[in-house]
Amino acid sequence: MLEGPSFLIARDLPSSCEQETEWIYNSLRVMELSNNKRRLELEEVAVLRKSRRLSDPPKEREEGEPQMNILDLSLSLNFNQGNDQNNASDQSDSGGLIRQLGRDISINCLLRCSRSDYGLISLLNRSFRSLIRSGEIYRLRRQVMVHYSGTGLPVSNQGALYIIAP
Amino acid sequence: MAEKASPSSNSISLKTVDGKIFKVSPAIANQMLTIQPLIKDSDSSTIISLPDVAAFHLTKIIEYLEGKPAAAPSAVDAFEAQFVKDLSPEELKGLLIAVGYLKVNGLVDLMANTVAKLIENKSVEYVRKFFGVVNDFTPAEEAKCRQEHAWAFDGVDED
Repeated sequence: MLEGPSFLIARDLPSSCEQETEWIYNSLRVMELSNNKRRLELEEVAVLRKSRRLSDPPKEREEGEPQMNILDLSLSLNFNQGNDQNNASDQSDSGGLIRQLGRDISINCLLRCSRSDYGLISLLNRSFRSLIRSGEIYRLRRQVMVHYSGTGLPVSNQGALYIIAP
Repeated sequence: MAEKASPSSNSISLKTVDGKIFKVSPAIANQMLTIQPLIKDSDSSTIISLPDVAAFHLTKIIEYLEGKPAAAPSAVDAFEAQFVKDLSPEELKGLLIAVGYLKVNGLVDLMANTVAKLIENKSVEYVRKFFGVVNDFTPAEEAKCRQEHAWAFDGVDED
């Protein structure tokens, strides 16, 4: 008699917990509910990230409820790749919109600053300082310059940007 | 809620975090690289939900993609300058996030360059705050670093 209820609870709890952790930690989730759509590259990334983060095997996707034809592309912009390991840090998001720029985006912007701003960049924190000290920023910068010529810098000037030692 | 979309000719429905549904042509949607792989499998009843994008930002993105002149580079420059002219730093930041997430053709560069201009001559604190960078220097380290780069902090703008 007593076993019944406790059994029910025992079954209920794990799955609801899983869902919650999934929602909290999932960095990229694609729910594809119409049956056999080809698995997206995005989804693979999601699985990869998830398993890395939760050290949990990617689980059943078919548990998704039958909401019809809604593709849910959620990506929490958590680009702390500089310090991957302590991802457990606060992930306060307000209604799905994360008001913080990721590292990748930040770097992408900073690359385009003029070189005289690099002193400032190196003062942001340690990881940005090493980005400048190691010269990594110059490599990235060159890539951006090659792909994009609309920086407002005269092309002939760009070579000079790399000559000056940090 | 899901099936509101009326079956108009193969437009793609995008749903923002604040619940608005935008219909865009496949040509427009195709320029958002993040959703590109989903388009082929979509039909008019499909709604692609974008939980990290607000309606305001998607409106701007669509405005950009629809309005960008195909012709002369000078026309593009003028259009882009106009596009970013009235954006506040906060809006710029939100849009940058949305654009980075959706990987919108052309707009990523435009936004990054605009932000780069914005932070030119700003104080370290301002830039930290803008990008949400956590300062992990010890006070001594920071002081040392500031000394090394003292020349860089002459004539910094007010935040």
